[in-house]
Amino acid sequence: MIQASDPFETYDFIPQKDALLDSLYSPLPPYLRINTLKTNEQKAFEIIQKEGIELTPIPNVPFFYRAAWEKGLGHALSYKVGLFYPQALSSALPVLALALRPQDIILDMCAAPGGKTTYMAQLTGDSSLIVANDRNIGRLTSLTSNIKRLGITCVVVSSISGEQFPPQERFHKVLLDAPCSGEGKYRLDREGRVLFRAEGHTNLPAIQKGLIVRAFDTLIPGGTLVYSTCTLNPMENEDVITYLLKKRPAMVVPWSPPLMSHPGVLEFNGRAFSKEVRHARRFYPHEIDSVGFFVAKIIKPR
Amino acid sequence: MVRQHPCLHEICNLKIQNAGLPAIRILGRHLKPTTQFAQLFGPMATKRVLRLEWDDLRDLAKVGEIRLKKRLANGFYLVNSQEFFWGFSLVKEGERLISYLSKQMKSALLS
Repeated sequence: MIQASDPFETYDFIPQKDALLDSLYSPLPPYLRINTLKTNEQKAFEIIQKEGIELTPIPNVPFFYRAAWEKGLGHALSYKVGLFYPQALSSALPVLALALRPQDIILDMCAAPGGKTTYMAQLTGDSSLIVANDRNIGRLTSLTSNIKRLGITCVVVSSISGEQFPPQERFHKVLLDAPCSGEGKYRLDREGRVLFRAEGHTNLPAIQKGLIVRAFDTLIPGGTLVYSTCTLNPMENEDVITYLLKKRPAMVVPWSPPLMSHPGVLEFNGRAFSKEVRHARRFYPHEIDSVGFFVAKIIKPR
Repeated sequence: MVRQHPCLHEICNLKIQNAGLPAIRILGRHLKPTTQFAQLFGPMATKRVLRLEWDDLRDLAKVGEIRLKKRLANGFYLVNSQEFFWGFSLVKEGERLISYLSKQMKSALLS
């Protein structure tokens, strides 16, 4: 038995933490989303299976499958022609929380490489209007190439710093999948060291707070903002939501996710958060067999 | 090519990098529809669709030209194989099929 190291030492709110630490030694299973904008789901399913990729549908998460193949999914012909998008199961969650309708005007504030943007386009039958924004112009190449590969016509790409995004109220739905420390993706090597830990001294909570206020300001009254990250750190999640609640008349509302989840934490390291953050949902890697996530659904009152 | 939306004008003042899918490219003095366009509108095409066997399609991608088993009218055709549209190719002299498949499609077919 390998002695587990604990990258989440101060996170006593994690349920069955030993199970989480044990799970970090195995790679995350691959998932894919079938793209129904090029052909119907059944036909795409058959073509993908014919290539030798085994697919198991995920209940209540539309178009998502667990995939098993001896090669990387990016080598498949069906990938290259745009019949699927390899995507972490948990990245479906913020998109589902938005409860999209055809004809919605949507902003994806930090969109690259476009997994969630293209899922939004698919769920609205390519009939909404999506502004896919990312400040990093280098990352727009992958975003644009995914939009083309999947055959999407309803997406407009912009490259504006999120904090500087024009604050006019014009969007029905805004997704802010904020840059984060990525703790939900952590895996451990044989010696118990964290693989792929984000390095640097960026003050992520400060960036996230700037982004969430601007994202909220672009909503029409009655519009919905979904804030998500792939980190477990409350300072990048509940604290950011609490900041927004202090600055703007926002309301965190409950929603029912299709995967096992827990409410937002109300206190961390002696810091108390707004009671409203209990409506946010936390998803842990060992319980959902995918990347850990935080999702909060926020409404701008009319 | 951007999907028509009643509120498209509301985002016109944003600094846009690109929009929708490229539908047409200029090739010399001609306009050529893109592969993305072929894949989107192929299923709606009622003529000029050329269905190829899988091996013939791969040969077309590999060699750049194949000989057709039966004569066709000259001009551009949408190429379909295994119920999927792969792009365009040109029929010349009734039986020569010249590939206009994109680099991406060729590399996908030959990988």
